[in-house]
Amino acid sequence: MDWNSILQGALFTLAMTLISTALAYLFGLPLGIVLYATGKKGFRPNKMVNFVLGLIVNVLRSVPCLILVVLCMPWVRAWFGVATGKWYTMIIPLFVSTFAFVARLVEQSLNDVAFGKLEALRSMGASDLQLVTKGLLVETKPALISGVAVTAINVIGYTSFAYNIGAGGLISDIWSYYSRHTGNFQNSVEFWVMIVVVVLLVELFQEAGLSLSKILDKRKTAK
Amino acid sequence: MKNLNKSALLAFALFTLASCGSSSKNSYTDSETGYTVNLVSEELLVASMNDYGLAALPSNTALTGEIAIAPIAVEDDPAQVANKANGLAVRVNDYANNLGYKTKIDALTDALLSSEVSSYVTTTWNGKITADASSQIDLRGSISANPTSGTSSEVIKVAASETPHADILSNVVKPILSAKGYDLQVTVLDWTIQNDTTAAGDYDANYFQHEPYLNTYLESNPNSLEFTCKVHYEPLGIYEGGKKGSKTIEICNDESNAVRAFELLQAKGYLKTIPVKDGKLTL
Repeated sequence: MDWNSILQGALFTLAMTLISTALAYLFGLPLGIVLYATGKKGFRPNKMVNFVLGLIVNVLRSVPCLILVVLCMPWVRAWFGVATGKWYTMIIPLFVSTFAFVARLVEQSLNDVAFGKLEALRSMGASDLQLVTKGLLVETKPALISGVAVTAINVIGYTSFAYNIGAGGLISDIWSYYSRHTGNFQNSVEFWVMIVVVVLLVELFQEAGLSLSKILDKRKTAK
Repeated sequence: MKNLNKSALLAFALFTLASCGSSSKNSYTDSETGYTVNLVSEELLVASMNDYGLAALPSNTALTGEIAIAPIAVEDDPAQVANKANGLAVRVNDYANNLGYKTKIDALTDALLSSEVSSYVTTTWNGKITADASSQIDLRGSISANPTSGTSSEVIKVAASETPHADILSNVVKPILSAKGYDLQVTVLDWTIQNDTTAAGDYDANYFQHEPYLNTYLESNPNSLEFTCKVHYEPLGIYEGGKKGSKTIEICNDESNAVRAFELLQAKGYLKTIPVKDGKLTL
């Protein structure tokens, strides 16, 4: 068994996932907040802005991920020199296909904040920015953190498209192993070990997300 | 009443979905012989073989799937060998004008045309994939190249498909080239983007396709790529699937391989008419 290549694949998958998830939140979080704020229940309702942003988000979420990978190739090539064959060529396509999802996820979490709490903040003279940073984000912190875990695990799934552009990573390695041994892949220990490592990665993200959101949950619960 | 409407709508939707299955871009039924052909992704051909009466598999697919049975019929037309042999595609402009590029492509081409490749293919795949005088064809004469200058580098980057292309490159061609001072770097890629990335300069050359596939690409991107040589041939075979006697056939779903499979099925009498016109799929 080639532990080195399994370790390398896992590191590539981790790197792709973490970087593109971070980028997706960098852009998706503000977009989600704007989507919420301009929505019907938001504090700055604006039909036009909300419709246009919502449309962009829906379009990005509808285009198949593999098509986004191909469409991003000229952009990736302009930035990195190559568009295929290296692990980092996968970051931009992953980011593009994820940040719209993140925006919706954030909007969804913000929608759960009780209207009365925002009213109270408003009546104390909070500005829009304060409303977001002191009210919305604090109230929804646990939901947002577990959303990061959901997103990251989603991105791990998307890294399977790295196979198509030769960008590597564990999931792509698994598919590559399968396509070289379509007849007897089930009987190979290496194949199942790779699967187990992916399961461990997913567990890691899920557990980290859950426990972090528990730690950060400052809301009092009745005992 | 409302509920009735809903269930009627649901039934209609399900019926529409179900009836779509028989007349899509992914299947074809020959009314005369009664055979139904389904187009399936190459990597899944072996996994879904049990669902069909027959399967038309390229020989490398049959090899990686470790198909133990012998094919019922294979392509035996000698004209096919020269036409469908897989070749090394390079950028025409760079080959014609850049001396450094031409020098390393020539070294790579010489290595692919060597007898080492031919004997490796013969011993490794024992006739299921072939590389000999009928498939190893030097095509450099057809490209008018007369470069006078251009920087050279020792790294040769090639995009390839998994089996047997990347195998041949890593196990035979890489040692030959490193003896000449070159470092061959092989990247395995989805074949649908190999031509684009090679034309854009991510790789110096690619090795995964036969002439009909390259021609399909050249129609939309004329004068971008050209073969410097053809190397090996993967005969297509018809295998018995898991449902013996069933009049269903699975074939590979990319255009050029589907056309090839349809032509073989017609030649062997499984289909009377095929959805192919002038070498193009008409599904």
